[in-house]
Amino acid sequence: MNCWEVLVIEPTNDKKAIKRAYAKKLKVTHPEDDPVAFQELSEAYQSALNIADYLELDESVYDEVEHDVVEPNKVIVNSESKQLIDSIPQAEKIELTKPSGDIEKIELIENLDESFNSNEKLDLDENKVAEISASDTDSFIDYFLARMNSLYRNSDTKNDIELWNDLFTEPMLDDIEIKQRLRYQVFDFFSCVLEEELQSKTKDLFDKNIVYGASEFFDWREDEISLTQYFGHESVDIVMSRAYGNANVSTDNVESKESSSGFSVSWFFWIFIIYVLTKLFASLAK
Amino acid sequence: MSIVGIDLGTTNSLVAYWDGEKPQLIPNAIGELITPSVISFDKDGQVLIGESAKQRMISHPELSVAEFKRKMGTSAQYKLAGKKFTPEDFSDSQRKATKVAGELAGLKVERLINEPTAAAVAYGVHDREEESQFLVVDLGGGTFDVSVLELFDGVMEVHASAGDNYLGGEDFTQKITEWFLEKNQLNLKSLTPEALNLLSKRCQVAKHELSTNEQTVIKFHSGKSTFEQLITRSDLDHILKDTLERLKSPIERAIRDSKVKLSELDDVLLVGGATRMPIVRNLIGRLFRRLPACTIDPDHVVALGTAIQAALKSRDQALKDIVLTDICPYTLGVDVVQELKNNQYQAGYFLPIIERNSMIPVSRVQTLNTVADNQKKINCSIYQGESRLVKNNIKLGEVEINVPKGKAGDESVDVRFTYDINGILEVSIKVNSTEEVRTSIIKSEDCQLTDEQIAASMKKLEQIKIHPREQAENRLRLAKAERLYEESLGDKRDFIASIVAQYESILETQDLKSIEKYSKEFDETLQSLEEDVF
Repeated sequence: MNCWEVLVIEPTNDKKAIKRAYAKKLKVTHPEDDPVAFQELSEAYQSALNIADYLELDESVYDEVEHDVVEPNKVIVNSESKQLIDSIPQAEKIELTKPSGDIEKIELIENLDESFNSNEKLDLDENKVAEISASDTDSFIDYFLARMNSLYRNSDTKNDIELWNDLFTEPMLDDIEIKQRLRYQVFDFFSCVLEEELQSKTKDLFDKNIVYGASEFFDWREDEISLTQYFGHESVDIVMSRAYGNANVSTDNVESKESSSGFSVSWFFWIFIIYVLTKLFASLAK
Repeated sequence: MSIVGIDLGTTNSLVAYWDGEKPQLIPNAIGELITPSVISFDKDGQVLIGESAKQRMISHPELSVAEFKRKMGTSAQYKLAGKKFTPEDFSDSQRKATKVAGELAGLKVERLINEPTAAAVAYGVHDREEESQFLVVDLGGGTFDVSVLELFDGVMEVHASAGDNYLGGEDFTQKITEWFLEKNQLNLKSLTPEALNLLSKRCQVAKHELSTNEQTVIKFHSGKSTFEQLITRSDLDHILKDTLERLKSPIERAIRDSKVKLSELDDVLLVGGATRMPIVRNLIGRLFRRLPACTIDPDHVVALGTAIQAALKSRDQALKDIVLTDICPYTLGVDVVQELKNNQYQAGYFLPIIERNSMIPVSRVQTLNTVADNQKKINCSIYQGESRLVKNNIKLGEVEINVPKGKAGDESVDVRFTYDINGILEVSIKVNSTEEVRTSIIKSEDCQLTDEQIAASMKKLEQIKIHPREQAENRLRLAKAERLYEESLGDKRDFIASIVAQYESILETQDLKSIEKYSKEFDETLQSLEEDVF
């Protein structure tokens, strides 16, 4: 039975109609009396609401989604934008909600490079900062991401805690919506730059206090599970271990009896040792 | 038989019931709707509660205790009058502790209710005519809760809730007290418990006064020295800056989880005494870019909401067209081994089965496979929490089941989590090849006392003598006078001592008429003393 059949209505994108149908059925499907039927109903209700979002996709909604995709990538310097786009949640939404989004996506990537370049040229003197932070949400988000990137890319400012503190105490960040929108984008930035550091084996590491500060500010630990779903275990491990030390990385390996590979590796190791030892003793005996 | 709703607060407690049309608060022995959550013992070992006990916090701090709710479920012990008291002996969780406490007091605890849900329900029934989505911010004495609720066609749907169990008005008072001590170069340890309780009462009064005035003076004497400290609103901003920061995270989380856009919220409602503070209102206003609303007395909301939920539970006729759907506030799951790269496994990962803010009752299944050849058993540890690593989550229990030998990945089990409306989690594991099933019930809040244990506790409770109702008012007068005595100096002290002695002797006579007559005079004298303490 699909969700519309459970709710006894025709498929619709009218959320009010979905709610009305749900309310009507809920009165005879009380959560305390019939948990199983209630769960079926509540799940149908939730998926109907989700589908309604999809059916509703018009120009304005699409613009909004597109907007979200462009921003996180502005800060990414590496050319692997394609892969990164796939790893961020908003981009996934595009694929789900608009299967024909491939063309737009390519355009997006092109835009990306342009906008990044223009951002890099941003002149960040004091006056400019004041002007930008006074303007609307979108330009603040652009400003924040660009500023974050330029702080990090400049070796003088990379680990200047004062400057990072100033950035994270911008009054505009009090705004819940701005903070929500930046949450994943900043995480994406941090996981990317930390991964870069790891791969380039650089000695000039990003100060763990800054990573810690960002994690506490955005409360990433409260959402580790969904972050893992979007960015994968490795990215979350990298960020969390820098912020909170190794205590936050799973280090306990599976015992050998549970992991066949671990078992065989140690098996080969012992065979090798025995082989070497016998050779050694043989040569000593000689 | 009707069910009452109890709001057991950190600072104050209230009781309410459903009168068939609307929720009503029940006044206590001295006619007050709000009873301070304070307990005190007198010299005969009798128990005083509420206002009288609160007064004795200053005169007899070693015999009195407040804010004990914060310690419920922990192993903290209170030592009063030479006896040890543990907020609860069977330690596990706060909710369980609360339930046990209720049963021990001879009440049948029908259900423990999420505080923000109760508050939201009170508002839901109060402004029932509209369809709306709103967010409730509940900042009480010791706890902070946020929930997002939607109302339509008689459905009250909780979308998300979040909170901080160790954040409230008492923390603000604490911060002001610390600030006062620092400003006046006083050492916390140099103060007697009496002096400290007096100081924190003064700071609390100052906190309240700053809600209406721009500035006020904290007056305090310890030993022979007297301190006067001016405090302004901007001082308060500075003192509470870090504490107030902590309000943001639960609010943001609730919004995020509910997936509601700020523009879709019809109202932001304030609940709890601490939301009276302008500094809190301003912060909320800034976060939401709108003025928060507060149409029910913030101290009464939760109790009224519990009474409504009691009525809902008993399916009261007046509420028959309303259905409340609640959520599970945290993520529940099991520990698993993850394959990181080819044949590289790592243990200790958390696999969520019921995600936080799922509508309850709910039941979900995940299928798990063996990771090693010839694995003999599968051991499922059950966890609650939001970390991807189980070691940062709270372990609730363990279920183990044997599986037939086979190649890695060949054998599979279905792990089913069922979370019911009373917060009881049932975990069942089924081996798909053998159909063997293991079930374990994790009662996160159920009372596991045997009847004998309850009977024994009740017997112990019988020995505690509680003052008869008619004496409650007289006890309050005496407690007030004793507190004033403690707060005053010199001649005034002697005067208070003399009127207390006189009043006690009149009480001894048990002549109701003269007691009543003198009580009136006594009240008036106390009132005038209260008005000029210094």
